Amino acid sequence: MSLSQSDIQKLASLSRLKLSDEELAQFTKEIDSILGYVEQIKEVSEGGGANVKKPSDILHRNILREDVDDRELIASGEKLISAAPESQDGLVKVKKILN
Amino acid sequence: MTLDLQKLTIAKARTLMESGELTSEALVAAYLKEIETKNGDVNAYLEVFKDAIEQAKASDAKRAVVGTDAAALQNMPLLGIPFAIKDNITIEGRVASAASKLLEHYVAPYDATAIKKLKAAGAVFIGRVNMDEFAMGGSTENSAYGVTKNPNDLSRVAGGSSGGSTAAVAMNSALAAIGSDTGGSIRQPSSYCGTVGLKPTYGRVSRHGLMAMGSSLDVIGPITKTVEDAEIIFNVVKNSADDSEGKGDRYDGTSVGETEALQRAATHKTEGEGSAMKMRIGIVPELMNIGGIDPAVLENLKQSIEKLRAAGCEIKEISLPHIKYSLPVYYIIMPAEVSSNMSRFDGVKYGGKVSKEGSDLLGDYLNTRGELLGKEVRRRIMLGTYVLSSGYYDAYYNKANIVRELIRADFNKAFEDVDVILTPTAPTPAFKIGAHSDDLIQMYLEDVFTITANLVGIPALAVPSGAVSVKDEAGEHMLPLGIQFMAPHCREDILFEVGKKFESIR
Repeated sequence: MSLSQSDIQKLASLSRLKLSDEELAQFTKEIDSILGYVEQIKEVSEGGGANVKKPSDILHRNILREDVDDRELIASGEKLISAAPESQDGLVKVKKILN
Repeated sequence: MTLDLQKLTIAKARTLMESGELTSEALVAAYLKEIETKNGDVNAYLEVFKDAIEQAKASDAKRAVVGTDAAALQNMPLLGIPFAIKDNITIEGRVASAASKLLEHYVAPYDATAIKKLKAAGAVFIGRVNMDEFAMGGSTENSAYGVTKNPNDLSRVAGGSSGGSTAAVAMNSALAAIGSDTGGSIRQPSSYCGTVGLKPTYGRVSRHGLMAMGSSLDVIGPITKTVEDAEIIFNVVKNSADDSEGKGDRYDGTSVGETEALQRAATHKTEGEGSAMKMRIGIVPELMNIGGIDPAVLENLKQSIEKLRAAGCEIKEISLPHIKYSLPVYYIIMPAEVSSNMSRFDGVKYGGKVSKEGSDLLGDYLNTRGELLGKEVRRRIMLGTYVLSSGYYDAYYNKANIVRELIRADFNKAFEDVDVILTPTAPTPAFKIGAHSDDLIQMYLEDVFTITANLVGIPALAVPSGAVSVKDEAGEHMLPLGIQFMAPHCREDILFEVGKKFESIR
């Protein structure tokens, strides 16, 4: 692998993360080394792949909630809003996104 | 009476409370005193709940009402038992920060399902304990609130990510703790601190109210002094026959209900039942050749195997051809899931004060996440974004999922011949604070034995197996060592049997 600082800058902006110049250099080196390490899975033969993607061994399943008023959840709505950094009139407050 | 907190267990405390020799209030007071003496050094607790004594008094009052009513007591198997709770599990009305600056003031709006079950069983919550930020790390060095030190040697880490949970139990400041395990976060710190740690079958304990890290890997579990205590807690927090008529927790997207668990458990046949079970134990020679394993760990494993053999267990060598790829597979799948899960922490729905406000909404996102998330969290988000990006998706994420299935198939095959698989819990005893800070891969390798159970979804139990004396500039210390048993899906019962057997012979 060989990632450049501009690759990492792109990843950071896609991930909505601000990095300092120093962090950019550090992360470039570290992420490159982790990718170098995980690349060893490329050597695994998928020969036995025929029976690989079958979800036969999936144990858990989705439990669907009944489609009814759930007072328990509704009651926490106000608390959810109040957990936001800024709120007003029971709504989450954000900066203007259209000019 | 004088309480020996080092030797106290849930089972013993229950007996003492039932006979009136001990109250929850006295027990909590004893733990608060330990916290006052030790927490300044160890840094296990991020917050000690001011109402801990009040909770204890309320549970004592409840006991007075219940009296000796056996049925009522059976419904409250944890009445008055003091717990420490990992900071990424929600308790309504209390701060849950995941040891992150981003959630420093976040007050949980609801109880996690596991917390709800603990409350119903009568548990008392002493406080919330330290961890790696959002459970990302193996040493609690990634906490925004300082490292948790190992109670056995303060120059060493407690392990992680549930390092606060294991340290709290090891320093005798709670009778039990709740942690979460994505790649070993209950078991590896248990090995370093000398506690028992259970990672249940994936889905068997609801994830509702556990802050998501790797959603196909995460599970909540107990940290205790004994295997019996872990069993008591597991039986409280698991999905019961009452949860959606045995189907599981309707607030958890991937749930294993009681009905399905029983069906699955029946597919693995053992010779004999319960304590009369004739245990077949698999050991994996190829796993011992991966390098980097401390000689003391290898020697301890050898001795543990001999003790189990002498106790009548059948020891079989097995092969798990793809297990060597577990760590690389994990470091693709986990960050991929992290990058998705962490997108909710955007400064709008959750967030805190940043030094500079953005000029627009995007600026707020960037500043909040750039400033309030630690380096390991940001590293994993970017790594996950990379392996999920369109040009690399097949080579990394897809391939990792295929290899994950190959590993799963290896385990299914192995469990045709054995009832449990035995490995060390961690490749080394607790390491020095800062020892791996320049080498991420070395840090990740500390989880090399534990990660596989999460990838496969099977239950695993870490049990203390001895200690090694280490002498260095910090003095001479006895550092705990541990072994891990892994069992087929939904066979926690086998783990409890073999774990108790091992406790009696170690």
